[in-house]
Amino acid sequence: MRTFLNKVLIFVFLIFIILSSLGYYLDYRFSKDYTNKFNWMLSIENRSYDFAFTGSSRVFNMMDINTIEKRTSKKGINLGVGGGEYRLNYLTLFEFLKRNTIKTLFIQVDPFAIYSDSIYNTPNHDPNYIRFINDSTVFNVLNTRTSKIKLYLWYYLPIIKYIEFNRIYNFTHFLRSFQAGSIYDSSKGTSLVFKHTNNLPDIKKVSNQNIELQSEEVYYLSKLIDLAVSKNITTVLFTSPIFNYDKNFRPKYPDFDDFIKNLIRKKPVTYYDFHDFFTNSDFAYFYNLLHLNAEGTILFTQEFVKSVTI
Amino acid sequence: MIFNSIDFAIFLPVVFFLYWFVVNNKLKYQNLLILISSYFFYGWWDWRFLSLIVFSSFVDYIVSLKLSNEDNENKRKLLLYVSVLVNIGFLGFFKYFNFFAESFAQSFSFLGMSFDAITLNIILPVGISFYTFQTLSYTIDVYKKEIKPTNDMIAFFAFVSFFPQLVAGPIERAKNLLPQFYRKREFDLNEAVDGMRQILWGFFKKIVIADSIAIYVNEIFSNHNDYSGIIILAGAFLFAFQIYGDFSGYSDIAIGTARLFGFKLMQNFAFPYFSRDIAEFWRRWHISLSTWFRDYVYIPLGGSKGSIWNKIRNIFIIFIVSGFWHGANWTFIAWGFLNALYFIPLMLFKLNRKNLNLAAEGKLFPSVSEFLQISLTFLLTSFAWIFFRADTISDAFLMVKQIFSSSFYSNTIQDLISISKGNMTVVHLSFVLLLIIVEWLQRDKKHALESFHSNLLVRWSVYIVLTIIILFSGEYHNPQEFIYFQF
Repeated sequence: MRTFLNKVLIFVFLIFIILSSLGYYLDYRFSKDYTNKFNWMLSIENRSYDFAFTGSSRVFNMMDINTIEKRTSKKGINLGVGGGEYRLNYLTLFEFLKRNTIKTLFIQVDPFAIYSDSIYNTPNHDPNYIRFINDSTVFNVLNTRTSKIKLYLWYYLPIIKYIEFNRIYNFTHFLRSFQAGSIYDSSKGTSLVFKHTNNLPDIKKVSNQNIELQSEEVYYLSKLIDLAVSKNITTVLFTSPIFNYDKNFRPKYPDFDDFIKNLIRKKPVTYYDFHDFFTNSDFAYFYNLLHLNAEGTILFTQEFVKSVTI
Repeated sequence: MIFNSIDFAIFLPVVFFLYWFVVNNKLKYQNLLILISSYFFYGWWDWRFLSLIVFSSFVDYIVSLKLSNEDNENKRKLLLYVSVLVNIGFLGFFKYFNFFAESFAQSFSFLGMSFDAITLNIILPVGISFYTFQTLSYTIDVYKKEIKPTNDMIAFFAFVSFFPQLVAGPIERAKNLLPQFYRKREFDLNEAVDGMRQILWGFFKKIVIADSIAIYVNEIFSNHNDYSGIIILAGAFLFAFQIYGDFSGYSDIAIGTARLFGFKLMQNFAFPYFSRDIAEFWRRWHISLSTWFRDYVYIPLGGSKGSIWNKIRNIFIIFIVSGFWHGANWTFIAWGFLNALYFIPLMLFKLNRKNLNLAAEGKLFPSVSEFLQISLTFLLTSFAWIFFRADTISDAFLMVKQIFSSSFYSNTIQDLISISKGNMTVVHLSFVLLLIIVEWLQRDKKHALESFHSNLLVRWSVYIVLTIIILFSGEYHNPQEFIYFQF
């Protein structure tokens, strides 16, 4: 029995040593994967931007920075992320502003991120911020979702997060970390979607369930605005196009308009509503009810530049 | 509780410690610990269903004791029927009630009448197909006077509920497993170490092979209308590896775990995809179930004796019942039927016992004819897996139609691109290739890591690499259940 236990202990010890070393190496390696939008954003330093956009995939895919730069000769960046939430947008902006400056910040707002039946399926992007948890602000934000013990485990035994999130930190991303540069360098953080659809069926049934505001997301939207304002950044809210919003979504979120009115009354922000920029027959510019394809994005961005002072 | 979970990773060392350091001096306490931990293991999933397994064990314990004291043949038969009724009754109710109710209602629709079948919201107790068969085999063996009944209640209850094999087999025979509960187990270093190797390989097959391939299989089978015949066929091949990795992986973990506690369970898979014909395949696949059906259904029906029609009838019965055991769906019956069709020609031409030795025995590579036989057998079994995996019988037939249609090759490249996960697909397929190579080289052993290399450094390097691959392949937020849990 002693021999068996010795063998088991030696094996476990060897695994621990190898995995611990591997964890630190992977921390370094994956931080170089600039196909990961978070890594790319967090690697930028000593830059001054005239404007920046932040929000979910309804910014990431739907606001073309190159179009704006051509029309305004101003420098900008797209800080939106797919499956994003205001909590992470806040964290990203917080870290970004430590090393860079922005003059005007555009925040996309819509009911989908702030109501309890959010149709987003947000993967866990928190591990991208583990290397900053020495900053109490970052730690406190991450702590809202992950226990302290786990956060410290992720920090001191980095291999744990790579094992736990192996679907995100996979072999493909490992290989990509060896590539120089990033697609976001040329697109300034935008990711255009080259998809089309033949039709966009309306949502069949509007749910009768009681849909409430998600207090955490409202809180971080407020913090996002406050952070920008505290850095003397002109802050503008807007809503990107939604296909047939009045039929598909307004009955579901009847209080959203009031929510926006209250927000712009309390905060020093302006608001632009583009939800019905496209008509109900313009499905060719969408690839689903909530997202524009590349053609739709370019068209929308051009109109945005005409309507909004950048 | 499932094997690939943190709960089990904590449960096993705790039970191991208690077993070998606290209760090892007394046999009764060892058995009692096995019993308590097995009930804990099972109850972790849903404690309410413990009552079923306890009741089933109690009935068979009492029935068997009474059988040993009864000489009147009619009364003995009656006692046996009580056991069969209770066990098959539970199985029938929990597993097949809705199937029969719906099928009954559907059969009336053919006559132009319709009514709503009364179906119940019944949860299928995990492992019921396995432990009912295990305890039933005990009663039948006592009835046939092949074994003496036990009056050690704790040993018997522990035998029925033994946690390594409780929920997905191997389905143990009382004559093999029960006597092991009468002897105090002594720790055997070689058994424990080899048990750990077997557990490691089991996790590799389950987590690295089965769970990785599941992504592609689920996509193809759920959206088969969008794919060409060749992709559907590829999906069938992949499912063949998924179900093998999942089920044989579980069996290896079960057998390896049992060895840690000094128990020897039967081998459940003997590298079945290296079979040269269907008969050999069924001697190597889910051995505990196929031998159970052979001994308790096929042979009592007359087996391979009697007229040709009796033999054919018996083969159909055995395979269809085996299919039906897997689930309450016509797809499983179709799968069983197809396997019967494969088997019958071999039996009729007396070729079903042709390949009793190992493929390419003593050689590194198979001959050309052996390779072709292995490939054909794999193709036939994979084709049958389409029925096993499809959600409905009509889906299965549609998929078969797509395979044999003129658009077999159409859009293959686009389909491959849409299914592929880039480099990850290359990695997953490489692991499948690794599985084939390793298991081929070790096909004469009980499991793939048994005595595979004499050099300590090489062995430990392989164990470490396998462990790291397993850890990095696991799904920790929504772990995939073992396929056979649904049976």
